[in-house]
Amino acid sequence: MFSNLKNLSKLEGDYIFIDNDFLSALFHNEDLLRETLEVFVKNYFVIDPFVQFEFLRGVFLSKQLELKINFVTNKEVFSPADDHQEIYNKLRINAVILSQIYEHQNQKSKSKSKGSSSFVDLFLASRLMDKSLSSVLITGNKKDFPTCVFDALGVLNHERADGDMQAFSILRFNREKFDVCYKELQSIPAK
Amino acid sequence: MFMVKSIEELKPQFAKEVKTKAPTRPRVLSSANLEELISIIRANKILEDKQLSGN
Repeated sequence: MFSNLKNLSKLEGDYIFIDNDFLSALFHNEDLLRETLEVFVKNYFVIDPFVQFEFLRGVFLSKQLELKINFVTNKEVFSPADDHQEIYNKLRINAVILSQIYEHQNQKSKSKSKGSSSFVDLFLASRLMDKSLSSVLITGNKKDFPTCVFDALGVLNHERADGDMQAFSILRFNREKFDVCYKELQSIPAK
Repeated sequence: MFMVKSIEELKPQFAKEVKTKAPTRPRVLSSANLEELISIIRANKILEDKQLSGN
C-alpha cells in the first residue's frame, strides 16, 4: 500500500468510517489489512450499519455469510457506529440537506454527472457531517462525496491481485464549505 | 419514520464535539485476533475459488 499522507499524525485519534468498497478490499487482501492496521494504529475504524448491510447483502452461501459476519463484527478492529432512533432523526435531516446541496452545486457547475449519491452514501455523509471534527472516511468512490463539502486529505493506493492499482481517498467533511453551500441554497428565491 | 414533516425541520444537525489531540493510545490488536482475521480472509478465498471453478 502506498499513501501520500504527509502528516498522518493530524489524523491521530480520529474515527475512520469505512465505505463498503474499502471494507471489501480489506476482506479480500490480507496484506492490505495488515498494512492498514499498522498505518492507522492510532485510529478507530467505524462501521455504519448501512455499510455493514451493503457488505453482507447478496451473499447466499451460509459459510461465506458467516465468514463475512465474523470479519465485520471483530470488535478489536471495527466498532459499530451509533444505531438508535435518536441518531437517525439527525441523520435523515442532514441527508436531505446534503442531497439538495449536491443537486444545486451540480446544476451550478452544469455538471454532466448522471445520477445522484445513493441512500447509503448520503447517510454515510450525514454521519461525517454530524461528527466532522473527529471523523474521516476511506472510500474508493470519491465522486459520491463531492468536493463542494468534502476535503480530500490523502490517497491510499494498493495493488490488487489482478495487478491493477486501486485508489482509496481519505475524506473529511468541511464545515466552512458546507456553510457556504447551505447559504447559497437558502438564497434561492421560493418562486 | 424517515419522513421530514416541514421545511422548518430541515436545519443542519451537528454533534457537540471537541477536537482533542491528546496523545492517543495505539489500538491493541492481539496477534491471535489478527491471525483469526487472516484465516477468515483465506477461508473466503478458498470458497470464492471453488465458486469460480464451479465446484
